[in-house]
Amino acid sequence: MKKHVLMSVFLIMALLFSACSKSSETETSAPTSTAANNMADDGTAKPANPGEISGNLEVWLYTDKITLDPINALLPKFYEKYPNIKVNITPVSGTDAPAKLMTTISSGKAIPDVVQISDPNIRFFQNQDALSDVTAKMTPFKDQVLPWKLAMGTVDGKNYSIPIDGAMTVMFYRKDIFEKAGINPEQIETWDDFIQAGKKITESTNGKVKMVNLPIGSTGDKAGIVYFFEEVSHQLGGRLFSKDKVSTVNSKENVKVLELFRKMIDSGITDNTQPWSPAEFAQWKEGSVATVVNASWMKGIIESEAPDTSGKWGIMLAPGFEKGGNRISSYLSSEMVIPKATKNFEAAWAFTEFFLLNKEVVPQLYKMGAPFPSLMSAYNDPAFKKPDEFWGGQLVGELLTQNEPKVPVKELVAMNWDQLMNNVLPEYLFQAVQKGADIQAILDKAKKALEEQAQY
Amino acid sequence: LIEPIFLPAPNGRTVFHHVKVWRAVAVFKPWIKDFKINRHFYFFVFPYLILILFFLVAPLIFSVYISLFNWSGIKAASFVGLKNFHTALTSPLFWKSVTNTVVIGLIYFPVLLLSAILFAVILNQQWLRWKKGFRAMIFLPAVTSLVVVSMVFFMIFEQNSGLLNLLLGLFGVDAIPWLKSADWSKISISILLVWRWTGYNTVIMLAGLQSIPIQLYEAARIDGAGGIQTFLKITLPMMKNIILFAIVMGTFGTFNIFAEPYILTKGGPSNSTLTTGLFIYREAFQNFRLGNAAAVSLIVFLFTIILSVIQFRMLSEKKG
Repeated sequence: MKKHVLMSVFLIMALLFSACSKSSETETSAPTSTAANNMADDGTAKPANPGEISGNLEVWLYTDKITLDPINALLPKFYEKYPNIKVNITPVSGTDAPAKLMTTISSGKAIPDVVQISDPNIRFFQNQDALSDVTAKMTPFKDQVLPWKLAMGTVDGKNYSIPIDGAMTVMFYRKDIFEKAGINPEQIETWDDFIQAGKKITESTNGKVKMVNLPIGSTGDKAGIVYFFEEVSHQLGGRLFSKDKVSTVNSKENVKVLELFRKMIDSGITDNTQPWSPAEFAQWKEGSVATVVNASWMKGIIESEAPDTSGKWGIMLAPGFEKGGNRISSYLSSEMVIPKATKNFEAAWAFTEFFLLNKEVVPQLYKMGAPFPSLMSAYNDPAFKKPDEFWGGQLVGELLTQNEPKVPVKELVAMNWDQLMNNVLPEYLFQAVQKGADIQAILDKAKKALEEQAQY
Repeated sequence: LIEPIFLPAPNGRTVFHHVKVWRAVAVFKPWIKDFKINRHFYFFVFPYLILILFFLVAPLIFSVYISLFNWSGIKAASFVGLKNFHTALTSPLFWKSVTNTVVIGLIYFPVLLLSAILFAVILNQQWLRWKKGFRAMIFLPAVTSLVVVSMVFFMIFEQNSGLLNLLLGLFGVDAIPWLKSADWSKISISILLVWRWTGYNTVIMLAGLQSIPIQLYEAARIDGAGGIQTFLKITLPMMKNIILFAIVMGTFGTFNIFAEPYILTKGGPSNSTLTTGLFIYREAFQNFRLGNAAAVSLIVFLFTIILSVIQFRMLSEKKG
């Protein structure tokens, strides 16, 4: 009896240990191959013969599909040029992508070759030494990409990402609602005009239609007030951090922005609906909100979430603070990165170059509903000069090609910028827009909290 | 029979060791004897023990280990000693999460416990028909997919068009910002918690009720005791251990509340529903400060242990 017990214990232990040792083997073998990859990459940036590049690519793209679907549709063209590369696209939500990438990299298994992640996460993964250096490959394209987007993936002069889309702040508005209330969108130049127009709309509809959604009560990865704050503050040149790692969240500009927010809320023109939720999409469909002030890539989201409203929308620059003042600002968008642990660096680069940096392919993606690209050298393509049906025949491409390059470079400074914006700042913005709150004092507190939580 | 034991001293000589140590060893002696007698049964539970070892004990030890390091999961970890514990204990956000958790616990748990006992007593009645159906129904929320639950409760709590506000509107109550006010959001989370976990606790209470010998009730009836009197003098005292169990499990559960605020509010607005469980998740999987998260989870673990010890003491002394 005793022998049997001992035997079975040994057998189980043996099984467990063999399983453990296997996983550690793959873990150790992964970094060596990457090192080899990077060596070749740093030494020579020779363009390889497309036919010779091979590999099975695992690509993670956002689940919202405005990037995924057009790329999927053009894959046959990619296979024509690169017959020996196989691509498998997995949809991953933008909020899950960082955690998922983190776990696959630390486990050393099933690491993707190309990943779409949001701008602030690039710094984070670069800091973790998890991204491939694409400087040599990017060099010929440096003047062709939106400068502020290129800066998002540049650390100490080296590039770690390939920009996908622009993110200039624009105002999407419902032409039909504006017409009914007798508002001429061209006359909305300042935020005061915006509030006046909003009052007209809410009054003429008995408060059923609001001017804009200003979600003050949302947090986490859906903290809508933060996007809005960031965009409007950027108009005034307001930032969260200065370059020397001091938080400037309590600056005069930011106080001004929050005063504006409170004015908007007090005048009754705002709604408070969870952003990125079925409730917000329903607002677009039923027309209970007249404008959406957000990044230019929201265009594709509106098109796909409210397809029945085609023809009723218009796009214009967001209002500014003064007449004739600055109306250009931006939020953030996404880029593609190639994890350092990939075994298919050349193939991964071929994929990103083909879909993001190719003057012929990028306009085709845009035509199929992809967000406005960050590749400036493609802006002369006729695709950007065509009237856009969904937007009532407006020349959307022209508005964006003219203004996206004007967006100034912004510094994110902190490595965990995303977390600061999603989990730390909303609490203070929420307090600051409450009636009778001392905005300056609250932002002083926010400065302290941001500085405590920031990682560099 | 306690035999003195001899242990090697540091200087190499064998000495009669301190009396406390051999007492401790003596305590284990019957256990060892017991193990020898029952070794075959231990063999049967061996696969289970192995799983516990790998999925419970090992991660626990590992989390103690990484709580001493600054580690993101990718880069090599650097040893920081007890700094993570210091960071956690001085972080206002951590204390906010503790306060939130305690407040939410104080709102939802009494309601949950009372309704669980009430439902259990009703479901235990002789006259009740369709008993099995009702029991299954009341347990259903505990096994319903959280994604579905979140969608439904979003619609219920929606401020302008939500079901709850429409119903309250019939009685002339103004629209309540269930998920958008820092105070109401705690109540919304509590409502969801009560809805989700009452059934589970009812089943536990029901098991307790059914273990009470029926003769006690018969004797009480003969002595002329009324319904309320039997409930207070027989049911509750007999249920003491079960209720204690529910309270202790509830305390553990409260400090681990994660899914409900995660799906409904993401901890907002203004971090008013940031629970300790959610705080640990944020630290680990959004901020990727695994060492810090491990330290926080150990502190919370200590909290719950201390709280449950206090609960055991209080309840067993009062009624025992």
